[in-house]
Amino acid sequence: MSNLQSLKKKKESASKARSFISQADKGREGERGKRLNVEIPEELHYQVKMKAAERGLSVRALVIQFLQSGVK
Amino acid sequence: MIITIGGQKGGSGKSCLAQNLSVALVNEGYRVLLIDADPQQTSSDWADERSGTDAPALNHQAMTGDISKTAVALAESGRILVIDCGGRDTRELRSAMVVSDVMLIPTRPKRRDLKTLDYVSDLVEKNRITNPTLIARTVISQAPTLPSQIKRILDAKAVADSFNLPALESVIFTRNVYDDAEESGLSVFEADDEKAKKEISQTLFEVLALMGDNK
Repeated sequence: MSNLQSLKKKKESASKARSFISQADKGREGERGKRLNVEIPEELHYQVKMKAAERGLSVRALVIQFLQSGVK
Repeated sequence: MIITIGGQKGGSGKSCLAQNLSVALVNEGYRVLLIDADPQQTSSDWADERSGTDAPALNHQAMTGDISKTAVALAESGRILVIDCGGRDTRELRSAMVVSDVMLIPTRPKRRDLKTLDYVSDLVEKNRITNPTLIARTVISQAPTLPSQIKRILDAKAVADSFNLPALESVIFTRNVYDDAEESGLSVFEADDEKAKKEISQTLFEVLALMGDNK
């Protein structure tokens, strides 16, 4: 395989890996999502945002995590 | 060599297995790095606790986000990485799966837990595009010790098989020593329960054999 081809293959594989990783916590493909709108106190919203940043998560991922542990 | 321990269910003994396997590897003379990629940071707390004891030292590091590149770099020069991912489908878990040789999924022999293997199996299949050689195995954990309950374990293994995530022969049973040791930063190898030591050692040898096959 030429260098150019192998480089192209490597790039493709890295992009597939990135797309696989970015789908984390979004449920299965084809699984329908539901939107949840809730009004919450401003202070709590701030705290949730802080907690998400601390853990390196999105607010969505953190809320899902909390809800999941609540319904268990 | 990279071993990822993860799944889609909390409380199934992932951190416990990661900690005990890491110590077992150290005892076998391997250079080991325990990576805590679980936001709950159970293994980091455990390792911190451990550093204050006389137990053999264990290198550990906490990581978040996409850990694939760092993990590959750290696994060079013959070091074995044991990555403890939480019980959820996270970026940490997926990025660890992309670069792992073996993935272990500790699962209790209970319906609710076994059901989650369906999701994990799907994840492993999707990961095949980027990591076709990943060996994924269920580890039956917290199994009842009563001989009359053996059917539960066999049934659980059959379910794991049906999801294409065959179970290891070795089974981790419910034993107080796991909790007692963990609370003081120790592994079963520094505690007094021969059966627990034996089941962790057997698990390790099975995993090492799997990795040997993959070479």
